[in-house]
Formats: sequence, structure tokens, C-alpha cells
Amino acid sequence: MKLEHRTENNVDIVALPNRLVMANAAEARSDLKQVIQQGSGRVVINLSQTEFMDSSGLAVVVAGLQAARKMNGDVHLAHMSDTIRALFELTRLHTVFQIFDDEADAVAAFA
Amino acid sequence: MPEPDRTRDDAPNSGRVQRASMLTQTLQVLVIDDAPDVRIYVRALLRKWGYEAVLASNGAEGLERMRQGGIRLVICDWMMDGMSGPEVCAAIRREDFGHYVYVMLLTGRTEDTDLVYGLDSGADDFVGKPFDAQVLRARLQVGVRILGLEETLAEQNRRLQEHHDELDRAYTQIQNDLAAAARIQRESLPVSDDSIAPLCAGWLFLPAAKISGDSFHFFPVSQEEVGFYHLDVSGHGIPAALLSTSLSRSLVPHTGVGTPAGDYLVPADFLTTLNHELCSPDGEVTNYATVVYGVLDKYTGEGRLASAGHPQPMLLRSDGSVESLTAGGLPVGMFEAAQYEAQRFRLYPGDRLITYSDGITDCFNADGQAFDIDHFQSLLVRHRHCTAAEMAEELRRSVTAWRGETEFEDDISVLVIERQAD
Repeated sequence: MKLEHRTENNVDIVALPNRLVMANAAEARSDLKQVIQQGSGRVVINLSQTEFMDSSGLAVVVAGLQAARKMNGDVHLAHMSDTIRALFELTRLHTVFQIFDDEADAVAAFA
Repeated sequence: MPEPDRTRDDAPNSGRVQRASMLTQTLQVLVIDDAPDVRIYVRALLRKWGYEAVLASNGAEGLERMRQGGIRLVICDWMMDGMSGPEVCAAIRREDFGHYVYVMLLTGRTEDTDLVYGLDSGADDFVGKPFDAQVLRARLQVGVRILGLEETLAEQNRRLQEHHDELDRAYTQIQNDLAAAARIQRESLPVSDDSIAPLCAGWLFLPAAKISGDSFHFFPVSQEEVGFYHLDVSGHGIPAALLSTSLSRSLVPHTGVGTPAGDYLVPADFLTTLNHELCSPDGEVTNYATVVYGVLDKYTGEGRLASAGHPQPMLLRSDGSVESLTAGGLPVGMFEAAQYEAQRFRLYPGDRLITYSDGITDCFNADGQAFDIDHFQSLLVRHRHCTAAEMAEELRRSVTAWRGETEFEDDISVLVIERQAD
């Protein structure tokens, strides 16, 4: 798996796969970290394709946040489904991420 | 009929024939022919080409010789007294010699129907009579090549079988290890609720893959109070279970009757300490867990608990109403700076406190429907007159039926602590 990735206004926009689970979490984590470390540290994770995420998948997103914050950047999340929002709320992680309905808003929030 | 010529050619190998590498010993060729002159002529040729010739004057004798072993190549005449060449072929194919036997029929016949009959009976090749020695030599080499392929194939099969057996043994070993790990893990779960009397407890534990990332326990922390936790380590399978088991061993106080110190009485501090222990020094999440820890007074029902990203514990009141407790803070093992706060609650006689991992609410049935929190709560309410243990059993029955035949995708665990009605 290679994560879909493009750059806009010096913000890295990354899409996560349809299912982010234990089976593909290690690979997704290393891909995501690589994108972040080669970029500005300002990252938008687009979750529009992501229907399911387990606890290992959640760790991928948190690892992304930690990598970005080390570079004084941040991770903004966009297009989160209700199921994934419920997971973020259950684990209280919605309190550490900025979450946007729209990718453009998530990018613009870095300006 | 002439006496069968059983003479073996003991001086093979002219060195002029290049043997297939598989043949470490001189290849024995059985010649079945009722004409002594043909037998002797073919034997001479075979000897010249480096084969060892074994002679038989009819089919029955040839088959008998084959049963003694060592024959992989047969040159057989078609027209013979007794069994014909095709009949000998068919007889060879009916028997299991433990390896392939390559059969060439010597024949003056060239009609297509005869060839079909010969092939159907199991012959591999034909050499016309009277034959050209060079044609026989070349055809023999074809036979040797095919036997070589057969041997290579047999060797590959043997190696595959070895690998397969090795994998089989490794798999069995892993299964045994998993079963042992599952036993160790179950030992770290409660066995009875005697230690927290007069409170009662019931629980449900259904691991996804024999061993589980979930664990829970309860134990006295003072004369009046009991401590309890419910833990769900991220991921599942062996790594999650290892961490879960080692955590649960460190979480259960081993001081016996004595009073465990400090953190056990202060749920928020308990989680803060656990969080520091699990956060990796390089600041990147490796292992994390969601956990609830609380203490409860056995006699007054007053309690306080703190939660780290765990599904909200529920209070099932004796009147059938359900209250969800605090959502709490972040999971432990993610952020060094995470903070936790305790929430106070009170169990009145007949009330229950229910903690669980998200495995039960995320348990999908064959139609892709989740068991979900409403369903879970409605079951709790329906079975509120049962004891805590009976309630856990009802939940086990429901969720197992919900899931059907397939294994659980995530660990399922529920802990019910009950303050008995007066």
C-alpha cells in the first residue's frame, strides 16, 4: 500500500485506506511518517475513503500527530465518517485533533 | 519354450552413454521377449550402452522379476505366448512398484489402432521390429529422461512434504503455546467474588484469538473499599495479550490482606502512573490501552472512578434505569501529558456497575449489524433481576448467538459488580 498523497500550499494531504486495521497499520504508519517527515509538518489526513478503523488504526493517526508535532506542525482531520467520529469520541481523541468537515477548510486552517 | 534366461549382465557401463544424473546406480532394464535371439541381442546392446540387462522370456516371469524391485525401465515384446505385451503393460500399471516404470513395446505392428491399444494399456513408447539399434538407444534415453523427471518430481514432493511436516509441527507448537498463554491469562482474571463480599460480581470473557488484549479484576484496597479495573490493550492476538497479561499482573496488588499504597485509592493518580509507564521514551505511541480504574466502598456503595479512553461504565439502577458515567481522559500510553479526573458515583442496594470493552458493542452479526450499546443496555435492563453472574451468562449467550459461527473479531469482556438488595 502506498498512501495517496499530494501537497497544497505547503500542506501535505494524505488519504487513508478504506480499512485501517491491525493487518495494514504498520505499513500505513511508516508511509504516513515518511510523508510527514519529508514535508512541512503541516498535515491534513483525509478520511473520506476510510470506513473502518480499529485500535491499531487509531494508533497510526496518533503517531502521525506525534510526528507532525515534533516538527512544530499539526495534523488536521477531514471528512470523518460517523463511525470513526464515534471511535474518536469514545477514546477522547477528538480533544487532541482539529477535525473539519471539509478538506479545503482543514488546509485553510493552517494559513 | 526355452529356459528363461535370467542371466544378469554384470559388466555394464561402457561409459559412452551419458546417464541422467539421478541414476546413481547402473539402470536395470528388463527385457521381456520369448525369442532367445532377440533377448541376447538386446542384452548385448544394453551392455554396450552402459545399462544392466535383466531378461525374462514371458510376461508372468517379467512381472515376478519386477516385484523383486529395482526395475524402472522395461522393453517388452508385443506378440508373446501367454500374456501379450499390452497385457503385461496393463498388469504393470495395476501394481504399485513404489515408483514409475517406463515401458517400451517392441512391435512389428504400425496400425494406428494397435498404437492406441498399446497406449491405452499403459505403454510409454514403441520401437518397431526389426529395430534400428540407434533408434532403440535414442528411445531408451527418452525413457531415462522421463524417469529422471519423475525422480526430480518425487524429490521435490518429498521436500515439500518435509516442509509441510515442519510447518505442521510449528503450527501445532504455536497452537500449544497459545493454549498455554491463554491458561496463564485466565489465571490473571478473577476466579470468584469472595474477596469483595458483600459485593457480588459476574463477568464475561470471550477472547478473539484464544488470547485477549482485554483484562479486568477486582480486589480489596482497604478494609472498606475494593478496587476494580477494566483494560483493553490496543490490537489483539499475542502482542496485545502479552502486554495485557503483564499489565494485569502489575495492576493487581499482591500485598494480600494489607493495604495497597497510594495510587490504588486515588483513581486519577492510578491512571496517571499507568500512562507514564506505558508512554514510550521517544514520544511515539507504541502500545496503548483504554482502561477504567475505580474504587468502591463495600458497605456504603460510594465509589469513584477514572477512565482513559474506555467505553463509559454504566450504572444499572434497581428500577431498570441506566446511567452512563464519565467519558474521562485519553487512552494510557499515547500522550505523556494526559490528565485524568475521577468521577464519584454511588451504588444503592440492588444497583450494578457495568464496565466493558468495545468488543461487545462492535460485535457484528452475519448481516453486518453491530450488537451496539442500545441492544446491550436493553439486555442489561431485561435481566436486571438476575444475579451478576447470571446476567453475565445471559450476555454471553446473546452475544455468542449474535455472532453465529464465526470467530470474534475483537475481544469481548464485561464486568458486572453488584451491591445486593437489602
